Amino acid sequence: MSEPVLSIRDLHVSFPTATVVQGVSFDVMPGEIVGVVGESGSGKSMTARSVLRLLPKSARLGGSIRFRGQEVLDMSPADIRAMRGALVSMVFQDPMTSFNPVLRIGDQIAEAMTLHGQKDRKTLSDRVASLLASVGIGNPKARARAYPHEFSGGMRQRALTAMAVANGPALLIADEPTTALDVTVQDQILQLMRDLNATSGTAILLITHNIAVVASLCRRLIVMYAGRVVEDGPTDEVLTAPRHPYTWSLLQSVPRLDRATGRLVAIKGQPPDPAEPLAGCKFHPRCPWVEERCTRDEPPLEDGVRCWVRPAL
Amino acid sequence: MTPLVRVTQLTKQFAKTRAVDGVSFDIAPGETLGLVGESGSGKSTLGRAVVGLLPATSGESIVDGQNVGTLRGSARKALWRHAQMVFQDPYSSLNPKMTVRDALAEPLRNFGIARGAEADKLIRETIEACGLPASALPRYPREFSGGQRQRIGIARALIVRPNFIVADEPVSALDVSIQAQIINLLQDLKSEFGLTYLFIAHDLAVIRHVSDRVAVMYRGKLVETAPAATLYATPRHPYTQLLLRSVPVPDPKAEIERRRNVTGAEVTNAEATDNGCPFAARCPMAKFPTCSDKAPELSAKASDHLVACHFA
Amino acid sequence: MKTAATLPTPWFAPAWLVRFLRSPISTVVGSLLVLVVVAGVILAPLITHADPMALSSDTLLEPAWAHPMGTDDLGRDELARVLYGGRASLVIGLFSALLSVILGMTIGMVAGFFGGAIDETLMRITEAFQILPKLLVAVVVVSLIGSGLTNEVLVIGLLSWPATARVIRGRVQVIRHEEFIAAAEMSGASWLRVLVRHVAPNVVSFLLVSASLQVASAIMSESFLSFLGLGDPAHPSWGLLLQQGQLFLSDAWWLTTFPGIALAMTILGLNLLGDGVSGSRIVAGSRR
Repeated sequence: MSEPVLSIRDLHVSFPTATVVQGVSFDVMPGEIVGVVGESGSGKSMTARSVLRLLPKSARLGGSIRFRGQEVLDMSPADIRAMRGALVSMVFQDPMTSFNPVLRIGDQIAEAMTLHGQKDRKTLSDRVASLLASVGIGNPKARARAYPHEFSGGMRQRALTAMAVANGPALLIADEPTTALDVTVQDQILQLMRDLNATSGTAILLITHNIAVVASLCRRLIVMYAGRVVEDGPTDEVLTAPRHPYTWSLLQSVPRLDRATGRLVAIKGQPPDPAEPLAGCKFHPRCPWVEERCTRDEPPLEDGVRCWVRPAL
Repeated sequence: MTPLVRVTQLTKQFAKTRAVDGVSFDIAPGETLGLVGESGSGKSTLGRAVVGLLPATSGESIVDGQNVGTLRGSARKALWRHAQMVFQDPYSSLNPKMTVRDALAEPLRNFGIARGAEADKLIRETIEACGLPASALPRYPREFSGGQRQRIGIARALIVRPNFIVADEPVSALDVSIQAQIINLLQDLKSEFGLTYLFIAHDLAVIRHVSDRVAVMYRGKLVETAPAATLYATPRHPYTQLLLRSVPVPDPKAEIERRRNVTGAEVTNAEATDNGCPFAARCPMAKFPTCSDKAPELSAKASDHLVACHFA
Repeated sequence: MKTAATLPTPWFAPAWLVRFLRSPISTVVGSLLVLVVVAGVILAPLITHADPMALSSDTLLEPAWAHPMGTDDLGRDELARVLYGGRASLVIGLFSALLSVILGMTIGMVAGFFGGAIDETLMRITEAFQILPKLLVAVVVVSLIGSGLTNEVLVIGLLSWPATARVIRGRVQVIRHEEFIAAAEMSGASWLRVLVRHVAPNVVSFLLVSASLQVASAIMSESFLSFLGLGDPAHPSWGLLLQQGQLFLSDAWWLTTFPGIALAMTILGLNLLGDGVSGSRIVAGSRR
């Protein structure tokens, strides 16, 4: 068994008013694509950003994040900068704000490479062109001289992905990479990630609210709710035989494209407010299978499920 | 049956672009027409033009026997007594300085529907029908979550007891678990109050779930309309086919099957022109010069299945 | 929206000054200054029994126990004159600011809400007013129509609305496209009701800033007019006191110093207050 690229143990992220990530643990193996699914406030983005230490200053981190065995939480700012982009890179939801609007796309990708050692101009421009070509942008030499506003949303997300993989990172973190895109473009970006993973063996940590996107891309699926991992397992098992009531409800609450759906099973109520402490399982106020114990003690994550009751779903 | 809504050759032009370009459709009483399209397809503009919130450049929209296109001032007001709208953004759609009660009392007062105790009773009934307790009434929008705000927005549209509602992306700003609550609510209200919907969304699965009939929009034009079951089983327009192929499915086996059918590469046809079919530039089935010479009309390929394509 | 803490620091201002101006302390100091001035002016009869208009033979006395701020060339008590003079200054400041804010808000709201030709016309008029040399025009007009409280209020108010109009117009253009305005129209509200009930409450917080700065600027304008001898001699304001005092600059420093301090305190206080309000939650939080 090889060593994991990323190993997160008992991660805590808290702000002065609330704890948003509590006791999150999981590994990402080399070449693996792991999907983290959750709604807003589930702590999925905070978990992803912790890996690159891209959190607001007021955030307090606890636990351990190891990248190739090295503790990220102990790294100096200089080490973090060296790691960002070169070994671990990130793609965000909004490809417009991720680029500087007054610099050419090609120059920005080249700059990402210069920061990590590459200097020769000719090599750089060749490499930029081949990167743009590899993400499916036609006529890459000319397109490299374009400005961000001259690209469509899908092309910007491709270019951003090209920039993210420019230094051949071992891990790519994609935070809602297709949420702002139309479905036809989303499908192309997902295919691009699949190809990247297959050809260069880059491990991918995909953060999304869209279960179908995970089904399309990931072999492993982690479901987060209220700052905790509630279910963790192989994608096809989690989706076809969910074991946590939240995962089950989430799947029932989404209409299906491939068949007619009966009345949707809505999850009643709202997600808990992280600023107000809630005893027991964080899903218990909304759970149809709630028992007395659920309101008192928080269940541990055992065998990939965080639930006392484990109803037959 | 006479349609409740009849839209004929509706066009809305902004500066040089035609956001909506000669769109025609009917909606029968009690029907939900789903309008689906990608960003920039003009579906929101169409929705607003249908109820007269935006004046149309040409063409007409007849709602409940009234021609919206020609309505001005008090006549528009009379139309909105029966045709309402639910908006997309639960944050921007409520006045932050108005309590829920005031927001709901506003239409009652302006339309002269009810006042005093009678108005109060209507307000209570409506907010409760929308799944919020009467204790929500004296509070301000900022005290509510996105899903609860959307319920308030729905109550505001419902309080005049309209027969037609345009729902413009009513769930796209909400979390998945909250989306289901709002979709169920809209469906319950439809049967309880006998509503007719024009339901606008970009999510193809949501559209399939809520619609009796679906209209697909691309670059300001309708390219296909059909009953929901027919459209999803046998899409005829190449654009509809591309859309349906592009959506991943939350079922690993079905997803692998879907991906097998995706051709992958994006088509780019340089021969396409502005005069021709709007989809010609991306269409894998395009034949030139037919597709670049003339824009295809929306015409019946089977009963109740209209497609705008020369070759479908 | 940017919060006060993340605003860039202007290159010319030392960091400590910027920090002070944006801290709640500056708001507190501003409020205190304004409060002291307003209280002094309102409670003038309790503070001194002297009549600001009563002549006496004790001319040009230095500040002493009997006359804490001395007396002027006609033997009038300077403390009483400063306190009562504040009444004229503040009344003119408040009312002309009120006039200009009401004008500016109405014009800004109508221009921003309707857009098109109405907006074009109103904004050209606004610009025309803005490029006028305000004080010069005020001097000319007041010398033509004569001085007096009402005339000064009218002239200053009518000349200083453009800034407010532009701020409000910009804000209304944003609000105009919020969905709740479309919803209000569909609720059957007339355009007037949409403006008054739905647009206005969402711009009022922006007026607070404009208004406090407007008062300060109006007081300054009035002082300037009075200093040039265009004030109302029946209602001596700080500006008029300064004008009369400057004749005795070398003999009686107290005649210019005390009204000057009162004026400076008021202007500084109002400006600190205005800045404080603009950086505070009241305005920042009104977005949603």
